[in-house]
Amino acid sequence: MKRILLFSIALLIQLALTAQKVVAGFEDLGLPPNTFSRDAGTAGYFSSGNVALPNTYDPIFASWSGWAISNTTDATTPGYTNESSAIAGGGAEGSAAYAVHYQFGPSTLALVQPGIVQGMYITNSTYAYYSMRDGDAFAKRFGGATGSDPDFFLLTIRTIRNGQVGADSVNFYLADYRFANHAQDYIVGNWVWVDLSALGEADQLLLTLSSSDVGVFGINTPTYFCADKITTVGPLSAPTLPKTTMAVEVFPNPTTDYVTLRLPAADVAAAVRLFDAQGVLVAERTLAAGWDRLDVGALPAGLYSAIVRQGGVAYSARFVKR
Amino acid sequence: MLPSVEVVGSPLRARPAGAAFDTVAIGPYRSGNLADMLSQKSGIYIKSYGLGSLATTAMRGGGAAQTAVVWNGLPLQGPMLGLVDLSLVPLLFVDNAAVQYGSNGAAWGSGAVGGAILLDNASGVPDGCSAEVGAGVGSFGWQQQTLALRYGGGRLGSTTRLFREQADNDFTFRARPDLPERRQQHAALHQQGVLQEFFWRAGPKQTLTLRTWLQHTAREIPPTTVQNASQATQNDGFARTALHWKRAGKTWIWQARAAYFAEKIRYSDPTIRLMSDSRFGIWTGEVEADWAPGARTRLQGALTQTHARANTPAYGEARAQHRTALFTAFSRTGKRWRAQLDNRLEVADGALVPPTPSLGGAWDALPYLTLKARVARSYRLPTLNDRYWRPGGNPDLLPEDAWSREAGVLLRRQRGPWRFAYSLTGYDRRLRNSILWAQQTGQPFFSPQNIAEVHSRGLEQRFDVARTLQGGQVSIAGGHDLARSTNERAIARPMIAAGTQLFYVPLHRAYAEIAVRHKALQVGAQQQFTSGVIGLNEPVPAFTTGSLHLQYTGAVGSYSGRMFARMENLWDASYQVIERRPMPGRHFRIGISVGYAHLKPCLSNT
Repeated sequence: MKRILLFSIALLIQLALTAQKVVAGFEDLGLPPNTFSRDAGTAGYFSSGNVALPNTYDPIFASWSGWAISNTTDATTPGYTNESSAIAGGGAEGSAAYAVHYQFGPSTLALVQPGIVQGMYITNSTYAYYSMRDGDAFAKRFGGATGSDPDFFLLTIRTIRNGQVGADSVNFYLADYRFANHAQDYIVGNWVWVDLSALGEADQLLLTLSSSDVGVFGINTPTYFCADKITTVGPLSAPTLPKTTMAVEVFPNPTTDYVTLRLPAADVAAAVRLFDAQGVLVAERTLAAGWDRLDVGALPAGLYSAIVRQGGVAYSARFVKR
Repeated sequence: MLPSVEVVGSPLRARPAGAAFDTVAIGPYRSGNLADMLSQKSGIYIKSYGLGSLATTAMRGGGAAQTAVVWNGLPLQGPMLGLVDLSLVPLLFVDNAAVQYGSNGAAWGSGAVGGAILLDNASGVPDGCSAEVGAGVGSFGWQQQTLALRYGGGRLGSTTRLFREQADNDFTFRARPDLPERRQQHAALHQQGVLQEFFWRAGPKQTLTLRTWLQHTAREIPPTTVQNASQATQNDGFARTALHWKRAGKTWIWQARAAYFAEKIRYSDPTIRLMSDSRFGIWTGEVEADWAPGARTRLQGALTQTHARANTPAYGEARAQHRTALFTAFSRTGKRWRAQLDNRLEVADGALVPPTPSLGGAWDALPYLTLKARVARSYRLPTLNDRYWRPGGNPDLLPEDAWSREAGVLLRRQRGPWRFAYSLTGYDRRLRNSILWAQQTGQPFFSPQNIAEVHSRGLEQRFDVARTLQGGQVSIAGGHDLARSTNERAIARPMIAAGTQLFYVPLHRAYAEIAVRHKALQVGAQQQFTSGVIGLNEPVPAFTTGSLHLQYTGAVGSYSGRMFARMENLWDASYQVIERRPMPGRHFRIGISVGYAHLKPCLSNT
């Protein structure tokens, strides 16, 4: 038994080492110089390497959220008029393009093929960096009036696998003023590699920003950060790995009016929760056993995740609403 | 030097039966602005962002846009924000200021939910000529120069008032009592304005008045207490022109008003490479008839047409608002009572606003005791920013809709040299469809919604005791306002729990003034207390401030002089009204003016 276990572990390691390593550097999106792309169009996401970055763009209000792609280099202009730039002045490892994240609440990053996210480079946006360093009309200077407020700006990353949010998380402090010796207080101003391999296999990452500067309207600190070189390994398909043999089928996909969900079990009632690309719950209802139809005509265009619970097991599926 | 005041507005609109009023004596505050005075001498809570900075109101637990500010019968609220910055109203340009508490949507239309501030200028052709020049200096680089000219006689007349003001506003403050002093940065103010009035007595019963009020204010926007520096500036400029015709007969009074108000605000912040212009214009035309068929009955009707047009980059294109309103009032007066029924019908952009009636009455139960009561409906139209701001603007918003009721008692006694007055008013108001900028599920921005419901109730007390002395008077006056104003529905973002007090609405506010007048000398001391409020990020502590004023006026022949001195924040309190926006410590202002008056008619056109 011990031998079989050792063999299995060795096989897993071998698979991991030989699995395809894919880096999402966003250079392949071919942005013209000094461009900020905040509208992913009808696809509802930017895709590079093995990741799909959800994006919502409202053409009426010229407003966006989720992810955008940028190669702007302004590391000196504070304020929301410079929401596109990374404080590092460009992409990680001297590259030009990088991803910009902006979201009030939790958001996601999807893997085209499930696998392990080894890590990514992360830094502050120029807007958030100067807002934390100097304060602005809405947000406080970190340290506050005393200079010693224990402020922080934290990015928490978790995995989502088959609709289940992982128990483990990686915390990355984009700014940390909680040190007893305030000389150690810092705001991240360069690209920093964040190792996520310990989180294990995922089909999505769940990203949550939190700050010590919170008012009734939520976080006052601009909820931006930048990411680059998102590196994944996978897919992992060793027979010894747990895998979902039964899944929810969604069709048609893409869709305009409705989707049909075919459930793993034909005689067990189920419930579905529908999330938009930002991880916001947009619909919730019970489903008839076997299969059921979900009206999505009223939903805005974009990428959606359906989390179906049936018989104590959660299943996930994604579809695009046009 | 100043002409006597004749209120040019309509009594039934300005003084509805059963409503509560404060008449605020401007006196030594003439060199200041409306916000400075009301914060010391009234029950109104003034939300000041700092010396010389934006100042708005919260009356009877309402918001800044739920107070009407009326200048000579014309509402001043802009269509973009629906409010007036009271720090931009120089008292040099106001002859009479009064506060009407409670809803009066019938008379003043949109926004008169919590109350109305009524500003009037003297009307009628002045007799004689006069000129007055004044200058003042004060703490933090404050300087002011004023000039007032008045000439007329017979059928024509004119008054001209000019002022220029500047201040560095570089006061020292402590962000918290335990922290070291800092000096306010980037808070300078430069302001100048002119109010020109022309009067024409067209006949024994007719007058025509043309007023033009031009003003420009350049303000530096100081940093918050948790901001290193600011380079932001704001320039406010406006031109307000109003033509007023009045024909007063025995039983009929006809009035017509035509006005054009244009305003421009330029907000600039070079640090973030931002420059934003907002501008709007409002055309108003109004015809009003007042009929008193007998001594006891009075009817009034007014038809008002308003067209507003505004533009700012966030709208994408110019936006307009058309409003037509019909005001009607019926008043009946008995020997010991007075009752009044008002109503307003308004069509805004083609949609009928729910009628806003009000019914009030007062009864002199005893020679010294008056009981009064009033019920009124009021509304507030969504502003153009609410409807068209990008992102978030919601063109489908409904007007806010409020029903209020109030009842009160007024005691008045006069015995010999003594005068005594006390009033107690209780009110209760329910506001439905309250507009709140909130975040909807899945939306990355905030958007205004008719989602809030606000319940405001409170008690207001006023007292005034005075004793006439030989050559003068000593008086003590003051008041206390209890305002409980709660959100009745829980809202996720902004995070509001059901039953909690509104942001920036103090539960208690109290003020008192002792004034002594002896011949040419006036001395007064004020004290006010404001309880703590809930801010957007943290609670704002209660504060108490005091002030002293002294004024001396004298005349020799045709020459007159006036000297004044004011000391504000007498106890050097360290406080904030708006969180993260410090207020100055003890500071003073002194000034002098000299005048010449020639009381015979100066114009030979009669």
